[in-house]
Amino acid sequence: MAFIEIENVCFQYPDSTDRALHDLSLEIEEGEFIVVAGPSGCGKTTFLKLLKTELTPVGELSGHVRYKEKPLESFAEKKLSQEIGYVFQNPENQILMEDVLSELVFGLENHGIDSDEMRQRVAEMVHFFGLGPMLHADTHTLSGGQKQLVNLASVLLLRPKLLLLDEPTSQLDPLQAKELLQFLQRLNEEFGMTIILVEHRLEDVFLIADQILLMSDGGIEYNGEPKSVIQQVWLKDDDRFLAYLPSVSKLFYLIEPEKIHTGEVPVTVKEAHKWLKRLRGIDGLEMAASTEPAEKNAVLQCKQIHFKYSKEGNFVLKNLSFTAFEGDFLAIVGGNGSGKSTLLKCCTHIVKPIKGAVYLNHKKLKTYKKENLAGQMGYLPQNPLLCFMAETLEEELTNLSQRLKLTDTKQRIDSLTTQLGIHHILHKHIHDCSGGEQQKAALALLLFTEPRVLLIDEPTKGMDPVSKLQFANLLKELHHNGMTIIMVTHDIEFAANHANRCLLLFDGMITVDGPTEQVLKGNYFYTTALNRVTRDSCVPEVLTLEEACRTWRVPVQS
Amino acid sequence: METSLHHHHPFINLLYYGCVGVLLMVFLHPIFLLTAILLLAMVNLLHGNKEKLKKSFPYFIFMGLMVIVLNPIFVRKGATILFYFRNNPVTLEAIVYGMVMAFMLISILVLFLSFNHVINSRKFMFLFSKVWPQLALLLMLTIRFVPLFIRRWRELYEVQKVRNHSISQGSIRMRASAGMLYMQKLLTWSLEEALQSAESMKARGFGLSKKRTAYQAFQMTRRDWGMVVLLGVLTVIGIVGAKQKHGVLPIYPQLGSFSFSSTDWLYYGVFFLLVSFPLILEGGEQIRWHLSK
Repeated sequence: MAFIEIENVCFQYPDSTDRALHDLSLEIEEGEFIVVAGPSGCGKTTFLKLLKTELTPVGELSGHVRYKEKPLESFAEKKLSQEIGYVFQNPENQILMEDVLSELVFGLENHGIDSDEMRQRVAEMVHFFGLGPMLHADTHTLSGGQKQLVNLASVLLLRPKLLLLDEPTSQLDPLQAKELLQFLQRLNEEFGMTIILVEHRLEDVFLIADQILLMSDGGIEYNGEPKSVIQQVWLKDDDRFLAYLPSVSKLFYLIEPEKIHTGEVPVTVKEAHKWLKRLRGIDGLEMAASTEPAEKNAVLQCKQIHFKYSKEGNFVLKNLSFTAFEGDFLAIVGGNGSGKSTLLKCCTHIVKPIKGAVYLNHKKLKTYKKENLAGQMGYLPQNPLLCFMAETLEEELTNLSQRLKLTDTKQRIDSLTTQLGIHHILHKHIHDCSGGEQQKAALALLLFTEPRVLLIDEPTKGMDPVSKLQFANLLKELHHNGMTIIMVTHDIEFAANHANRCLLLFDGMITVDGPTEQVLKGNYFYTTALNRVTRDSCVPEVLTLEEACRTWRVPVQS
Repeated sequence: METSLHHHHPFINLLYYGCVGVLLMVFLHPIFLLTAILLLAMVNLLHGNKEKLKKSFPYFIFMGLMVIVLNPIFVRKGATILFYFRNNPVTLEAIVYGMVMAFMLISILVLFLSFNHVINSRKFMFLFSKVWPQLALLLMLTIRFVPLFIRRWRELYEVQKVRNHSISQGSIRMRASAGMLYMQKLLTWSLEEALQSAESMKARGFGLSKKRTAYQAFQMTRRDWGMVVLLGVLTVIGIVGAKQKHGVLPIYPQLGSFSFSSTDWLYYGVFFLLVSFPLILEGGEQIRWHLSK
């Protein structure tokens, strides 16, 4: 008998014509680790919320959801609330209290657990999560990853039997995301907790998941063990989900297409190493070094800038210099809190460096007038909604055009939105658009003033792989047309695939600066999975799948 | 800096401030109050609250001066008339009374500086969640919301600055309308985020049980109870003494002598002991530390 049974479940939101979920059937055994993935708007969150009765949205529900062989409604609310835990996507918004300890005990206090038992549970949980040092810290001083750990711990204190997590890692950097996933794995393995996790970054969860669900348009498209799901998606050549597969698996199928039916496929670096050892006879084509034009025009230059936020504080940026040349696609990578976002703020004149200066077209940034600066550079913050003061994209563009006294507004709006493929959302309320659409709409705002430089802060945060690919293509096209792009990112795979130059920010300084390939191939840890696989192996070292396809000469096997 | 007082049970903290507050109001004598101001300033320095003290002290002095000046203008009681101000008598008694009031005001303000440093929001919640848990929770949520709102404002302002949408340019009307737009955006944004917070509360069973319990991070030890008794006894002695007009400067109708009788000295000692309680605690801690090494 299954722990959770979902039978022919359909769900429809009140004001919509389409069903958010249709004909969903699924069985989950106790102690299983389920990973759910799919493009945004495919009904993942709705599915998760159906299992957490307090959060179930209003709408028309048919079919059966059974928990421990009884319908969910037959349980007491209080019991369900304890037994089914839910962790949300945004680490910031689910924290309610000012300090960590109060946040941890919030659920316990609500359930009227007495003080002695609370103390015992908290002591244990704090130890397990290693939260001791920050127990009395203010919650807003924690990093995103720490916040999410606190959220998880707070839910676990209620001792749930089933844990639901809605994209808990989407706002975290790769390291923090891994740490959180490792905790989930431990919970699953050491305590046998049943976990349902909605996640975009499948590469990290393929190993720990027992079952993978790929959803699209409110239905389950693929369901099964990780490796068989990979195989099915590849066999069907399913565009919707190809982007979700780990790059080593894709490499495997590309090199040895005849092995597709054997069912074996490497998903981790370790497995891929084993596979590559067997592989013989691949050598690289000598690529002609791309000829770079000798003299390039510097667009944006930082010369020895220093910055700190408060008088007593430490320097966030110290003696930092770099130059962005015309037509560069620059990726600035670095750990959390290394000052990447601060650097972008210096470049856009949001904050002023204490020492040193930023030059735009060889002129100091502070000599520009404000309205001229807005026409010269576009800044896309992490939260694209911040760019919008008006309710719709059209209104915002019209206002912007008035503010900067531009002409042919109507025409320009039309051509720009058509180019970006967002003409249909011109009149939609911006909060109703999906994350990818919001990102593109914000990009439209920036491009409207025809800037020479684009500064982008973490564009891929929280995006599903397909939207990521679309956004990347957009950036590539812009870059191709001569736009200079400076992008700050955690996403090494994204940087490796698209940027032509890469800077590593560490300790407030640019420590490495060079072509992306060179910089990342020299790293041991801060590099792509494919690079970790192919380094020191008998095949030529590559960074991306595309590079492998381009440069490897695979012998035709008889 | 965390002093010894910080590490004591919040109830002890509260009791100390309460008791000192009461004694400051009953011992209306310039020497008592001046002593208190000095001691409390030292307590603040011990907390490492020097910057705040330095910043606020001029305001305190200003408020004190206002009281000293205004009291004789409005109060005509008192036997010793010094001069006439617009045909109204200005008496020595009224001036001295104003001074005593000013000292009391300043001492209470300095006391509050220390109170703010020692009783943080956590301790505050702890103290009041027993009396009224729902209100305490509401307060906690609000306390967190204010800095959150300010952080969001700053974030929005920074982004819009680059977009040439500033509230510090143009005519007053333009600025006002831009400011309103900012406010509107900020509220929409915050409301949307608050919806998620509400879901998070619901998901953790908020409002399911009638009775909400409170996690007790602090426990009263026997030593703490001893301190409660000590503080209580000192305060009661003080109040009883003040009732019998000891340690209180007789002002109206005629100004009495500033000099202390021997019983006055006794009450001065009690008062001194109570106000310097944090200093004694800290000193004790230091001595114990040195002896134990």
